[in-house]
Amino acid sequence: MSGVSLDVKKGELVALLGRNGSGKSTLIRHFNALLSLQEGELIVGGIDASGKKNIWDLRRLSGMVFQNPDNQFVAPVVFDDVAFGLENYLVPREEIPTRVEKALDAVGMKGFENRAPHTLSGGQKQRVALAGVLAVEPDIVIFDEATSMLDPRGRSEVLSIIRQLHESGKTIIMITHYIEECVSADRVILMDSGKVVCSGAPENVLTDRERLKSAGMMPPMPVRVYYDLLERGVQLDRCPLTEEELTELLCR
Amino acid sequence: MSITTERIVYRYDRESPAEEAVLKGVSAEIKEGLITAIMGKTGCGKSTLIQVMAGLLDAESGRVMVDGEDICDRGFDRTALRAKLGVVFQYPEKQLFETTVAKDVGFGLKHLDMTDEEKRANIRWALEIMGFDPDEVGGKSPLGLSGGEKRRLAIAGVLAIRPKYLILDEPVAGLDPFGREKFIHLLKKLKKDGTGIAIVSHNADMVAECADRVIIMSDGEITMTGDTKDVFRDMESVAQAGVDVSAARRIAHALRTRGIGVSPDTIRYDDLISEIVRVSERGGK
Amino acid sequence: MDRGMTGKYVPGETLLHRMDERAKLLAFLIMICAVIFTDSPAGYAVMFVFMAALGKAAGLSVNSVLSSVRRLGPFLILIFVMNSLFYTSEDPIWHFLIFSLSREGMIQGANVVLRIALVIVMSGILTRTTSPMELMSAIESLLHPLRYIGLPAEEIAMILSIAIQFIPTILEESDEIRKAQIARGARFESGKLRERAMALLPMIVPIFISSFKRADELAEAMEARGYRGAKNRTAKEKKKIDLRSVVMLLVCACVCAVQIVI
Repeated sequence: MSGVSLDVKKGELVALLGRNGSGKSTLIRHFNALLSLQEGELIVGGIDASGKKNIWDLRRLSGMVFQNPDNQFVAPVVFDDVAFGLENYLVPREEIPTRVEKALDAVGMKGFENRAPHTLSGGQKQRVALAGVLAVEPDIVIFDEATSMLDPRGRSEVLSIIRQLHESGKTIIMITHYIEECVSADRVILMDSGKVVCSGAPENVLTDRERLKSAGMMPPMPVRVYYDLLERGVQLDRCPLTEEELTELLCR
Repeated sequence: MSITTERIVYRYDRESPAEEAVLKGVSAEIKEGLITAIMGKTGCGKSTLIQVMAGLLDAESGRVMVDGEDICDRGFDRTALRAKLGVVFQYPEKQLFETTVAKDVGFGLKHLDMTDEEKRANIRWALEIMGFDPDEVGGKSPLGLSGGEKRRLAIAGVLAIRPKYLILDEPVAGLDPFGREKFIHLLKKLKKDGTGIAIVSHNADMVAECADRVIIMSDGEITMTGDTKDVFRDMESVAQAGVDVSAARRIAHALRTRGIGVSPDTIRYDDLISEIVRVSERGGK
Repeated sequence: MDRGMTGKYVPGETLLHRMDERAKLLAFLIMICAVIFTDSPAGYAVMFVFMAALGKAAGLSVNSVLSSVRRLGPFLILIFVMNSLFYTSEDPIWHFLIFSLSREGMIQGANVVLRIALVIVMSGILTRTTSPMELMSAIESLLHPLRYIGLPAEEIAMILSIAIQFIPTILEESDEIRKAQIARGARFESGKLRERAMALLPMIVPIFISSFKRADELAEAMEARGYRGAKNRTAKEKKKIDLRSVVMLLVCACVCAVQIVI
């Protein structure tokens, strides 16, 4: 990674897009000090992330959901797993049950407290992992390709909760290589070879065919349709991002 | 020539609520020279079905016929089955274990009746078809490769036996669109050589692009089966099984309900483009 | 693989299920002591009656309790035969080369076999009525005093917890890898010992690689969730032991005392 500068605002939903090895995972691991800064400066929620002394405040402020649903559980039952983070931050024992309940409720997993993680579906596992993060009440939630190992149903479960979280005011950074998942973000940051290629609203970044191609990404399907039609002499009023928009434009 | 299952019944007695897979009398067919997609929600039994087809799970009742022979028969030699049927599991990169790429790809050839010459030729062919330069990677350690390369290598390891039938479970999971495109290209090439291919996938776009036939399963039973176009045309029944249709088919459907005359057989991306162009040239737009 | 795995936890509401898990584990240890001291027919009779009572209280059928003993049957028979034939006695019934069959030898063989059977039955009753999680927290509380001699009790408990959590996933993955390699022509069943050991490599290597990867990712996830050693964590709840459990412990202690006496 070299010379990355970016700024994520409070309450923003930012999608980090890029092919494997583009540096996106490395970048976000600095946000909660899983990797320490070699050079430059990084401020997360007013906390200086360059020193060692603020690590725990930093991690409490920014929670992270990882890619593999099977590899983030520490306890044999859901309740204990969600409580794990709370125990790490020395939350008093009597407060734990209510906070665990609240977090499970937020991800729609109430009633699963006593289930063993391996008996859950992929989408449910990721939701429990998210509950474990939310229980600590972080301001920032980072998703590291959290949907990439899920089936379509699991993926839409997780995406709809991400949207809810965004509406409730959390700052969200999601890494993905599914370009369709970026469409509803406030901002898309395109990365390649350890650098930010461009950053902007989805309607600007995701419709830039050349730039996406140079970063090894394929534009969303509606964008491809727009350009392919253009080549065949059919001009749409503007470039659509979603299937609905595309249908709308085609009907005009 | 084909793989046919006849009224397969399979029950899981172990407790695995996440993926409770049962088969309630499934009869399906995988034909030589065709790509058959098996679709359905997680836990509908599709993974169980392909494992029964491959002789990796034994059904409670029913028969599995491979080229007219019942593989469940006591007298049947499973080695012969291994020589003509390849299975690519989900995340196949997990199965790599040898010290060199060439050894790993050649692992499946060990027990086959073949000269060393032929074995080497097969290994070369498999590596080449998966986009490797055999001279360059042959001596490398599989573990040093990138994630995408490992996936291709693992598939090469299955292809090395030059299987007559190939069964794949979610082979494009986790691949980017370019990787997916290359993979579809590979499947089409194998199909042209006469390989009978069964592919389990959630990815309806990929199924639309390459599959000749689709089998849709729900709750341990086959609910639909037929040509991909015919199955995807009946969007309601497909949705009932919890399966998506391709984006092209969805858009074509939306356009049709708004009175635009694109064909209901539009399931592939290229078809969608040409249909839209055709309709707009007619002055409809 | 896990079909009919003996001693697997069966959820329930019986007397033994509701008993405090620490008391159960402690009672188990006391009963092991009792087994060590058992050596007379009367003693075995007491133990078997007591086990039958416990099994009944746990709502288990005789069949299910004995199934694990039966599974080890050949092994138990072997132990009995070895003991009977190799015991050096003053007064053998039958003697041939290094073998000598004697009454004492047979008694010793019976002793060993009966003790092993008792321990198997006991652990079966324990694990069928106590979930892995309860067992873990019981181990943790029993390890707790050992902190004072420098044993990392919390860490051990954490490791146990993670291990228990990962077992089903790793079993599932092993099964998948095994099938994948069989599909590629691997043969796990045939051949001589050496060949068979070599044949296991296609399974063992991938499982190791994937377990290391798992451990790596898990460590990262734990770190991200604020883990910094088991000491800096909210203390576990101190549960009081109920009267029923105390009574149970006393009963076990009595049985143990009886065994020491007779």
